[in-house]
Amino acid sequence: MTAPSALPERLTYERVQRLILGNIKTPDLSYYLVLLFLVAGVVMGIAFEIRQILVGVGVAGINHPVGWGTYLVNFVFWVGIGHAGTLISAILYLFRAKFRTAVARSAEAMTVFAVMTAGLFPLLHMGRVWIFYWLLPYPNQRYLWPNFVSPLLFDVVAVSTYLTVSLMFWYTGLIPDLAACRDATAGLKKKLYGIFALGWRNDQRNWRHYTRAYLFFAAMATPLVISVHSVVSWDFALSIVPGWHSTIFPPYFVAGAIHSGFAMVITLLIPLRHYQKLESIITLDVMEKMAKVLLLTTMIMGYSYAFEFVIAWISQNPFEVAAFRYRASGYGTVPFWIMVVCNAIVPMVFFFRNARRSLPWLMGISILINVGMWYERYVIMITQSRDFIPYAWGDYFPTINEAMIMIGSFCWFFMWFWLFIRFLPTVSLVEVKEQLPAPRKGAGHAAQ
Amino acid sequence: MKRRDFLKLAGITGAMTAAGCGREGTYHLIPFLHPPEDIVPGKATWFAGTCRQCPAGCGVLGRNRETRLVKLEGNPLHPVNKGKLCARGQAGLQDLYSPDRLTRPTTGRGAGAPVSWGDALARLNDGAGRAAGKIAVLSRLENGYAADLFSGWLGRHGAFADIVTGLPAHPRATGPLYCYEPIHYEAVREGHRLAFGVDAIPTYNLSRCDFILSAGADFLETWISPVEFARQFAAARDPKKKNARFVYAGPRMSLTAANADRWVPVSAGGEASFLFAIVAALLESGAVAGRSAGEAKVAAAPGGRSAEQLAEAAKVEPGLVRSLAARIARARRPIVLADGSADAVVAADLIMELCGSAGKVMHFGLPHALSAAARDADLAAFVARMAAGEIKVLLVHKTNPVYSLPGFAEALAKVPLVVALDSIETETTAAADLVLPIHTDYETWGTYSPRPGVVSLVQPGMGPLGVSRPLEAVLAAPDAPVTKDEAHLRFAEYAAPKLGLGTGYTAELRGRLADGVVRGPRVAKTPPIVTLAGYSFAPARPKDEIVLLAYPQIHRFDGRDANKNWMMEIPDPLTNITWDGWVEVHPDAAEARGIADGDVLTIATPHGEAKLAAHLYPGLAQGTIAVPMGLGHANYGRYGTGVGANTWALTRGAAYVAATIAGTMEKARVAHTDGSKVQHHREIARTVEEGREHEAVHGPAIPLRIPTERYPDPARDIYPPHTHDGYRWGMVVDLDRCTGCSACVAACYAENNIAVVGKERILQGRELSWLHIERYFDEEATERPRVLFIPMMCQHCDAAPCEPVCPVFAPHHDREGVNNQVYNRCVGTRYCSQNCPYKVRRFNWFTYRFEAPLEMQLNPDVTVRNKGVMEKCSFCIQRIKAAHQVAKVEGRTIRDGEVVPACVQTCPTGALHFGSYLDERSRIMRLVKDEKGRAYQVLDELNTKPGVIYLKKILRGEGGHTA
Repeated sequence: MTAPSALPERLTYERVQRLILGNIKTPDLSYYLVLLFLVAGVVMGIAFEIRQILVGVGVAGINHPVGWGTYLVNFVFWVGIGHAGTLISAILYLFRAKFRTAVARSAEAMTVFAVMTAGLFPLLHMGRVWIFYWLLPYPNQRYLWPNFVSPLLFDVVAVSTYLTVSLMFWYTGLIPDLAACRDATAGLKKKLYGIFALGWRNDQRNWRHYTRAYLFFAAMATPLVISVHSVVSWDFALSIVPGWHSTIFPPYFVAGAIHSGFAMVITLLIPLRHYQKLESIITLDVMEKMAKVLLLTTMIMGYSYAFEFVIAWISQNPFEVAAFRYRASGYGTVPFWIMVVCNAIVPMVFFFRNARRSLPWLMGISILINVGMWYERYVIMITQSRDFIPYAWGDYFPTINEAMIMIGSFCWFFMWFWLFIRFLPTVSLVEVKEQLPAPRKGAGHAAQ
Repeated sequence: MKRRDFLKLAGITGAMTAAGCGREGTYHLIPFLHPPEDIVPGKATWFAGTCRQCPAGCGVLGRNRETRLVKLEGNPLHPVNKGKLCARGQAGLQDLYSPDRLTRPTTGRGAGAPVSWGDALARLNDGAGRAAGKIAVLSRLENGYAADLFSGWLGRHGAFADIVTGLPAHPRATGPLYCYEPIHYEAVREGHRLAFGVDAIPTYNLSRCDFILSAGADFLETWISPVEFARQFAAARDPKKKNARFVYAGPRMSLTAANADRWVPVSAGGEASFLFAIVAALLESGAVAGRSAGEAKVAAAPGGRSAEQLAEAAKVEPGLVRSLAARIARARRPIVLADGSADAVVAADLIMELCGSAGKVMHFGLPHALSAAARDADLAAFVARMAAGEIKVLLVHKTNPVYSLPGFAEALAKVPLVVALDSIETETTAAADLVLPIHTDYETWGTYSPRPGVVSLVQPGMGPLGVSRPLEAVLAAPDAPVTKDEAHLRFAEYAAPKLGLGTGYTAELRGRLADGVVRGPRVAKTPPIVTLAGYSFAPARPKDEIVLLAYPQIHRFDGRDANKNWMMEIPDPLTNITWDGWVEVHPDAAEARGIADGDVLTIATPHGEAKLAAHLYPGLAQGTIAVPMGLGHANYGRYGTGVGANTWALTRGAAYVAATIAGTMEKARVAHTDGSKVQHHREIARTVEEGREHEAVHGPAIPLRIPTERYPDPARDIYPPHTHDGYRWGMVVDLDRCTGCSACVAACYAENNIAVVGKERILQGRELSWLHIERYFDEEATERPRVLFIPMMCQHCDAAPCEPVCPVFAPHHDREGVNNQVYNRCVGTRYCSQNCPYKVRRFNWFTYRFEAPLEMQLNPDVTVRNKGVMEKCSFCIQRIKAAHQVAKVEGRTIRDGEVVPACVQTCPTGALHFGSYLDERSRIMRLVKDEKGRAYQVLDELNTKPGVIYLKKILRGEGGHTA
């Protein structure tokens, strides 16, 4: 509550209140049209998944030897997206980085929705999805337990833990804001917000519990930022496949996750701050700071990409060397170079302050990073197509079915985000106000 | 709600629930109300029979489970195949269960109108009765029961029937019974007639030869009796015995040539010159002087030409000819096989004669059944008679001349009544006036003699599947009809006296039927005596133009197996192409003409034209293009129709024809199973140079890991070894014996209910075969491409990478070392397949259909997998379990050799061995210990400790020199 504040001086409690809660209003037709479009996309994705269940996973382009394809590409992609949210809301919170205040809520929402999306794909890719619950350790008559040694079971545990913790963390942070919404609305809305505000009374005890709980969840979520994507990387690193079996994978995946997550936050926030007129809260300074984080992760990514080749070369393992040779100059050329250019070269532009503070540059590069990070996972997936036995080599091409399910997953994510910006405060009232000078007596100390 | 309403509702709900949960219909394990007493559910009955997929006449044992024939295996008592069977033999079941079986008698050409059996037979008898003897029968090669039935029928209807069944073979050229085999090895017969004065295919014996030279005789694939030759070849090549050298000369590196120590490219038509050059070189060098009584006669045969001149005519280095001649002269018992032209066969015979081995490696005492097949001239005369209207009624029996005999279809128009006797839909049945469905070879009775002294019995392995009738019922006189229940009695009446087993359905006959074969008395070998009446060789000038070579493909032979989906799905061993036709073009020629793999070419010969996808194949002599036979069917069932090109129409049966090729703008998507032509120095299939096979280790020193607890290596393992209960099952694959023939693959399809996925899915990389014959060419393109084959199935690793990654324990390591896949438990994450370095796990991307009635062939001991489930080689776990049961009942342990997986059982060369590594005296342990220098495990650097141990292929020089 003391300087330095990342927010402009002219904001007041009242103005913040109006700006943020003002977006929770009866939407216009365009909102519904967008929502309808997104829901239609989700329905289409579901339709194609039903087709896949009825006909068989063969409707996708996966084959021998590439058995996972875009389903696991999207899984890793969406889990990765999630990480930036937790990093912003938890780690930066613990580090008292003030710039996070403006973006933490949206980023955390993005995390929850991204993990909700990511969690679908391990199910979608299964040959017999109708018995997915066999992966869960539940007591049963046959005394059969899942295999706790399998990285896929690690995934089940990691992702479900991550979803639970992020959801709790996000919700905890929302409680005072929900109470503000309750106080600002009437009728049924008031009732619903009231239920979710859990009877927040704004008294000393509430605040004590709230701040302690938030800190506690932040502390709990922090290791997950590192662990979840490390665990996801073990799906690959714990196998024996050349190009996958590498100790660099966990840090490389975590850095990549942050890279893609920050890019996604920027991609979401630039339209959002414009749409909800939050320019005065989500300022260019905030954007610039995120671009700086991207610059850091860009260099980590570039280093990782290069170092993978070095590891392969040092190992002198012919399979490993061949895997990387094919990746850079063989069958994987196009995705590989999309990945390198989009993730490790283009974002170097952020060395220039003007680019960091230019919305078109920020938007353009963040989208390129999203594309590049998707392709990074694609490159990893098709590493399989040239593994140990040359006779078994084969190429993989995604099919319409996979594309439609992927589009459906994007619609699913954006549908939740679209609903979120309509029903919940996209910036934390509490935290913004914390950073504002306290209003003078009698100057209208509203809900908080 | 009133009590009454409640009860009503409850009743309805209960009834609905009960109805909804009920099973769909009733299934009977045994499709009889009162089953015959010898049918015990779960217990197989075996019936001996004879494979008629080619004229070799191998003996088979059919495994009958709950009244259905589910598997064929070679008959160990049979002298031809001694328990082994080739891929086409395995696929014989698909004739029986073909979805394209004729379902009723029809009348009228084209689609045909259904007609009752009574009317159909009346029409046949009526037509034959009014034909006044102008009748003929065109049958596939028959020389026993069926031939006599036809002779009787022909005789009854006044045709000149001089056919007396029996041995020795009777010439059937002049009709009215023509034994038609599309591939009838006329050049071989003619060559022997010229050289030795015997117009017959002799009995060859490769097993004790120490040098084999083949010029165009693909004896490991289709030539005459491939299973027999493959077995003999493996025996001759045994490094502990003769360790024979093998050189192949010919225009194409066939599968047989790929197994040779050296393939000498000789342009099409140049084989005779090449062999005569060797004859001349032998004569010139004098190295074999005095070994042959007929040497003087032989000396005149090359027509005064020198070895050099002849080598030049064949476009082969004279030095090579001389060194080869010198090598042959050093051999104690060389054999030279040839096909393609009579001259080549003459030369082959003369080389053997000069070396004094002709009498040791071949004899004419027991001419092969094929010696009685109609010759080209006979067939031409017959077609001319048809065209002239001299035939009023023609019976075509289980052969398809409309497809394979050019000109036959046109001549058919002049025959008023064409009756097709067949069990499946063919081009010929479509062109017949009357189609009579008759039993397949696994539903009927009969005899077939592959050679004199061997009568192979044909008997039903199960009841007839459909409306078809036995031949004797169709050919019976109207006043003495034969019902289907009498067929066996008729056969017994015929066969028992003929085989000297009393009269009627005697116990002796039954005993022989159980054996499946009756051996005649030993026949004195008739050694060949060189005649060469006035023969003198005149080399054909090799032409500069492109020559088209049509070769019998190993899975489809002359075309008769193109309607079997196994034979279409199992990749060609050399090109690995499935479900497609292709034309092989040498990469250099292709480069010169701008042809790329998959380009569609128009091939024109004087006889016709065809469009085929180009396949760049290095194993071709200059100027040669090659097309596999057997495809291009216009009407051959759902699997065989409309694929590839009909070579019979292109070549009219000639060995080679001049051809032109022209590019089209089209590009074909050719389905193939190989991901790479070479092994990228990865040492998947390894070789060892001759003489070094007993050195301890070569190359990277990764010691063999016998995957049992007795051979732990704490330096390489973190975890303690698995402990086993009594057995650790494993396999040893001798790459030196594997010829790549793919019989094991077909056996695996048959035994393990593996689904056939079709072309589109193979294009996507989704074939389901549990066993692949991986084929690798040399890394660098050379003049002499070398091919390595390695059968790759689940390695049943002791440290299996698939096992830890499955989240639900579907891959399960059992107490006997077998890596089991628990289908019921599999949820389909495919991680096991991702993590399998051998890529032998196969996923069910869909629920695959077995088109009725192919589903009747399914092995009841093996689960049929559904979509979403991973599957793989199980080491035929069902057979291991069966052996356990027998051993348990008998209170003993399983003996070595008692468990025989389907692939091991059928391998014609004995390349596969199965047993337990825990038994130090088991066959596989002895092999591993004896062959220390050759034994290795694929990808041994990964330390997966595979349960399959390979023995390196031995690279033999051709003796003395490897140049």
